Amino acid sequence: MNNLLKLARTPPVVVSQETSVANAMRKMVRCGVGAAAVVDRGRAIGIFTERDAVARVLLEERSPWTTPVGEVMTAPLLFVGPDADLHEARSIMIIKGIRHLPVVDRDGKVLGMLSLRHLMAEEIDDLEHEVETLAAYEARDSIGG
Amino acid sequence: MTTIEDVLVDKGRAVYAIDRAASVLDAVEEMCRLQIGALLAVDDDGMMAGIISERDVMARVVLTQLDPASTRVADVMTREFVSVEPDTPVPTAMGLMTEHRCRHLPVLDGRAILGVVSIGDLLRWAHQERREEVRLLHEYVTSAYVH
Repeated sequence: MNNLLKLARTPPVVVSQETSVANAMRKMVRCGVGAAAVVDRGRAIGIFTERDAVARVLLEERSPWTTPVGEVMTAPLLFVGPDADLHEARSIMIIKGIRHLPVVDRDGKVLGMLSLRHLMAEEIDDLEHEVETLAAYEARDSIGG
Repeated sequence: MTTIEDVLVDKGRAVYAIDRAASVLDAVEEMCRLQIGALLAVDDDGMMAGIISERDVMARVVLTQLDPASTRVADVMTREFVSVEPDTPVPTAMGLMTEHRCRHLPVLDGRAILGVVSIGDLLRWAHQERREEVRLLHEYVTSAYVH
């Protein structure tokens, strides 16, 4: 498993495009996630987020029980392949201002979901590593000064 | 150590807040207009009362079939919020967001609101810091240094 998938949520929360908005929301709340990947016969076609739920369902007064998620999802889907670099994924999310980025293989299968929270965990690891390195460096006796 | 104050200086101190007596519908319209995921909920005196997020709306209003026009922000907001102070170190704030699984941290002095930082703000800030570090390193290795 590469670095990106080690960091991402696997398996991701996935719903089919015919799923009702209410069922998709329930699944997201139960799993404690802010987005679900939407698939059509197993292939990724979009993403359904909390933003879509409030903006396109609540504000536009659609019924969550009868509206299929495919009607209110965000599409086309912005994603990265499993071999993408973490820095590349981070740049996409920060520059595009998105909170979730699915990891999708060549066949359209959703392998994982990367969120800002995962990037934050990575950032904390990096900071801790930096502090340890600096501490080790400072503790070292050096003749060079 | 870099603190939340440094992030606020960089991103600005604008606080998007809503009266806790406002309707959920008003809060949602405001969040969508501003393209943000949460608003601070304030008392009559402008002091911190809670946070209302898209997740609160989805879980506590849409799924429970409450009417967003007649439900008040105070009825569904998160009251048990985690906050930071201006001198909180950035890594500590990041740790709090991870530990408490929250995406927004109000910056408070008592109950007075000084600002708010989101998970996106902290990551953007870290990203810029890293780019600056790379730029300085690049400058260093390409400069005509003498020893």
